[in-house]
Amino acid sequence: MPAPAELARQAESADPKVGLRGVAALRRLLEQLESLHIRNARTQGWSWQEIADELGVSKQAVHKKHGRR
Amino acid sequence: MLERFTGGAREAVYDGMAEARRLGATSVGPEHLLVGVAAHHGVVVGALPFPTGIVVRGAFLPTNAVRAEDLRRILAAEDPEAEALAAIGISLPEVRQTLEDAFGPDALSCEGRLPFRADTKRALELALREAVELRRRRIGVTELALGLLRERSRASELLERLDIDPTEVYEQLRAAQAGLGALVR
Repeated sequence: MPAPAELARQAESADPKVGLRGVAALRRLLEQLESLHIRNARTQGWSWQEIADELGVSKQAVHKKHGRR
Repeated sequence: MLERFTGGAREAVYDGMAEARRLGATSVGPEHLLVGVAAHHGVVVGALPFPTGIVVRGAFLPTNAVRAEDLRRILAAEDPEAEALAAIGISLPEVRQTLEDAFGPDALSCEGRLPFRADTKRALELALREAVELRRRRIGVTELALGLLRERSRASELLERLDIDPTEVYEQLRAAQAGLGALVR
């Protein structure tokens, strides 16, 4: 029998609201991390192609999303 | 997005945005805008049948308003963004610390304007709907407050933390608006 605190935690993580909010927050964090690291790479002279290769996406995709910054 | 907002409502939104930034949030939520609203005109509670307050030079000053600092205190104590991430096993403080070690302080918050979350945009749409229903040409602070509380949101959850029933606040505020027309502005 798990401790009450453990039970509470399990019940909480089975709540769709908790999971969905977590995913939404993670997506926002991801967007911030992506633009931060891309800006850093550009500052250090990386090409869009090099950045795209590391991110595993096409050069066009990265440039379209971050190119104008 | 804020074209039809009055100067006061716009300021409340800007205050909410500043609040989100101050709290280190990654986006602007309805809970932040509620702090902005409270900082400006207060969110009237306990209003039966009309909010308690005084009218000074045509402006209604509520005497039973939620104080912005109370909301602020709760938000600062529990960062909903960090909590949401912690619930799925990610530590926002650790992520933030890692970035600050590499890129200096405010690495995460130097991103220009913080984005509005989808629920924030929804609340602003509801504020517009309130204005339409109340036959107001513009969205004022009151319509903004109504928009934040019309549906369940982080803003209404924040009020509940102060043992205030958001539905009651909404209904009383709405009734007062519909009844008093231009007086409660």
